[in-house]
Amino acid sequence: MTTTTVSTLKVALAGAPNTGKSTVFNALTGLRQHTGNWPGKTVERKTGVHRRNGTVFSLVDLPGSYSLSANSVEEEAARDFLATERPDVVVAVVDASSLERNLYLVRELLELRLPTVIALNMMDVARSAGLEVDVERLESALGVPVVALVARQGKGIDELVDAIEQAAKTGATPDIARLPLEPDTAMLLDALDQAVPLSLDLPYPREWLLVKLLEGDRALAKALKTEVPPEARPDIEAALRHRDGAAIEIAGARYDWAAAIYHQTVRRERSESSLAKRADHLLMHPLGGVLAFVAVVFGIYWLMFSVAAPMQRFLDDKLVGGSTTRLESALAGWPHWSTSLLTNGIIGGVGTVLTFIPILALLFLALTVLEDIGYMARAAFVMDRFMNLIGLRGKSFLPLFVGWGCNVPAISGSRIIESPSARLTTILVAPLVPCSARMVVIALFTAAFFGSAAAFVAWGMVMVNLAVLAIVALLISRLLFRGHESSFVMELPRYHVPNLRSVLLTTLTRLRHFVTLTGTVILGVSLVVWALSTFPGSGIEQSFLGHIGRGLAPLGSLMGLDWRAMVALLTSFVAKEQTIATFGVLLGSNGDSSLRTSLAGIMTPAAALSFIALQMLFIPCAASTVTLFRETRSWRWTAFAVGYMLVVSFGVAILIYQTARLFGLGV
Amino acid sequence: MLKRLLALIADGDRTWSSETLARELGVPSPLVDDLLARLVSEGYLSCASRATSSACARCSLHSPACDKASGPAIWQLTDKARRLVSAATG
Repeated sequence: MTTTTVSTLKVALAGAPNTGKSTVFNALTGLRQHTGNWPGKTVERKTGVHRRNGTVFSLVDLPGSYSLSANSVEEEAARDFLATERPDVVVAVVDASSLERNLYLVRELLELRLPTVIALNMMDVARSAGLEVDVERLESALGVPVVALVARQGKGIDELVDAIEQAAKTGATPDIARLPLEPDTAMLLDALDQAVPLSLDLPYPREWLLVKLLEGDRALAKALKTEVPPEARPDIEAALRHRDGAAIEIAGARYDWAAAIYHQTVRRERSESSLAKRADHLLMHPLGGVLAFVAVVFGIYWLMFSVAAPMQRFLDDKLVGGSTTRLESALAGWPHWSTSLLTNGIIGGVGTVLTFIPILALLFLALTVLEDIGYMARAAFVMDRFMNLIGLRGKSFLPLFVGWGCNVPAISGSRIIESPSARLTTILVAPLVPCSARMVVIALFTAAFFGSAAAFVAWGMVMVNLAVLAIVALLISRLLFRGHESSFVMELPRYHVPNLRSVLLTTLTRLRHFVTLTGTVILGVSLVVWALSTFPGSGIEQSFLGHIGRGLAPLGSLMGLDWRAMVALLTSFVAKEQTIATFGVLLGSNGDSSLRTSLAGIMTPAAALSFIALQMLFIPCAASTVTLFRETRSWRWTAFAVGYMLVVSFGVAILIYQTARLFGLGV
Repeated sequence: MLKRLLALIADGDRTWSSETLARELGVPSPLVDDLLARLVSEGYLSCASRATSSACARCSLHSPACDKASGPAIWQLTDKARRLVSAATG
C-alpha cells in the first residue's frame, strides 16, 4: 500500500451499457464536458472535470463494454486506456438490479490491479425488483470500496467522490486471488510466464498480459511479437499453440467467481411476478403451453370465419357473381367461347381466388402479431418438446416451424440438421405441415359446408393433419433415426406491444406475394384448365378434361367426390390455391355465380371433409417436390415422399368419408 | 461454468432456453444470456437460423409468405465445441 499526494486525479468510469454510467458521469461533471474520438477509433470519447476542495478529478467516460476482451472497438478502447494509461482510480459503474451480469467486467477490472471503486447504481430498481444487495458483504468479497447510488436522483454521488478520493490517497490496489484454473491451463500459464522475457517493456501488468494471451487476444499478441526478441518467440508460440479451450476455461472461471459473489451478496426478497412471468408460466408449461397453442390456433380460425369469411362471401357474390352477370349481358353477341374464357376462365378462376384476400389478410395479420409480441417463439419451444415425443428431436423443429408459411423453406431448412437420417426424416414430413396456401382451401370448404361450425371444423382438420404428421414422423423416425442429435438453445424474445407499422408491412408483403402468384401461375393454369374443359366442344362432359376426369372418377367415388373434384385436386400440384381456381373454372360453367353454392351441389358434407383431408395431405406442390429432390439428391426418396403422401392422403380421406357417412354427413 | 453449459447443450435430446439453462445451472437467466454470447464470440456456438435463411435465399419462390426472418434465433454447437466436449468427457 502506498500514499500519494493528490491534486489532480485521473479517474476512469468503466461499465457495461445501460448501467447508468453516463448518468454518473453527468452528475459528476455537469456541463464541464468535452467530447471527441478515441485515437484511431470511431468511438466517442467523453472527458470532463469535477472539482472539490481543491482537488481536480479529471474524468474519462470509457465506452460501455461487457468485458475487456477486445471483441469490439469499444472494448478495445476501454481496455487500452485502462491498461496503458493507468488512471489513478477506476470507477466500475454496476447495475445493482443486474449484478450477476456486471461482475464479469468487475473481475477483469480488478485483474488490472488499479485502485478501484464500485459505484453500485440503480439501487432503487433493484429494490423494486425485489432484490436486496448486501453492500458491506459485497465490499468485503470484492476487496474494494462499494458505494450504493441512485445516480439519476443524485443519491450517493458525494459518497462516491469521497471514495474515489480515498482510493487515490491510499493507492490501494485490489488483492484478488488468481483464477482457479485446471492443471493443464495453469501449466500453460506457467510455460508462457517462462517464455515471455521479464525485461519486456510493455505497459501492461504482466499476469494480466499472460492471461490475455492465453485467452487469444490478437491485438496483445501482435504487440508482444514486435517487442519480444526473436529467440523467445518459438517458446511463446509453442505455449500458445496448445491454448485451445483455455479462453473459455478462463472466462468460465470468471463467471464462476461472479456467480459465487452474486449468491453471497444478493438476496431475492420476493420472486418477480410480472405479467411476462405469469404469461410464461402458462405458455411454456409442458401441457398448458400445448393447450394454449391449440387454443390460439382455434382463435385464429374463429376470427377468420367470424370476421373475414363474411367479407369473402360479399366479394364472391358481388364481385365475381356480379361481374360475371354484367359481362355475360355486355358480351351477348360475342362467340360463346370468348365469353366463357372471360367469365369462367379468368373471373371464375383468378377472380374467385382473389376473393380470399380478406381471409388470408386476417391469417397473415394474426400470425404476424403473434410473432411480433413474442408468442411464436414460445409456441415453438413448447411444440418442440411435443415433437420430441414423436421422434423428431432437436433441430427438426425449426424447419417444420417455417413450414406453416410455406413448405419449400421447410424442406430447404432441414440442412441445419447434421445427422443424415434425422435430416431425411424432417425432409420427408415437412410437406405435411399445413401451409398458408392450404388454409385458403380449408376456408372455402368449411365455410361452404359447415356454416357456424366452420371454425371448429377447420381447427379440427388442422389437428387431424398434425396428428397424421406425428404418426408419419414417428413411423419414419423409428425406421430411420439412428444418429444422435445434440440439443440446442432457443432465444425467447421479450414480450412487447406489436409495432403496427411493421405488422401491416409484413402482412401487405405476404398478400402481395399471394396476388402475384394468382396473377401469374394460377391465371396460366386456369386458362389451360378452361381450354381443356371447353374444347373440343359439346359440353364439359365431352371435353378433354372430362375424359381425363372420368378416368379418376372410380377412385373419387370412394370419397364421395366426382371427377371435377379429382381434377381440381390434380391441378393443386401446381400450387395448392389452384384447387379453388380450377373449381371456379369448372363450376362456373354451370351458370351459378357462387362457388360455395356450386360446391354444395356436387358434394356432401362428408365428401367435403374427405376433400379437405385430401388437399391437406396430398402430394407436395411442384415447387416443394423440386426442392425435395434438390435436398435429397435422390429420385428414390422424392418418389417415396410423393408415394407415401398419396397413400396417406387417400387412405385418410376414405376413412374420414366413410366415418362421416356413419354420422349422417353423407347426404 | 462455460464448460458445464457446453456439456449441457451437447448432451440430451432437448431444446433449451436461457431460462431452462439458468435453472439447471442455478444462476439468473440474464447471466446465461451473457454466457451464450461469450460462447458465440469464442466460436463454440453458431446461429442455426442462419442456415435456414441461406436456404431461403436460394429458394426460387422468393416467397415472403414463409417470413424467414420471424423464426426464433437458435444456437447450436460448432465442431470446435464438440471437440472440446468430447475431449473433456474422454
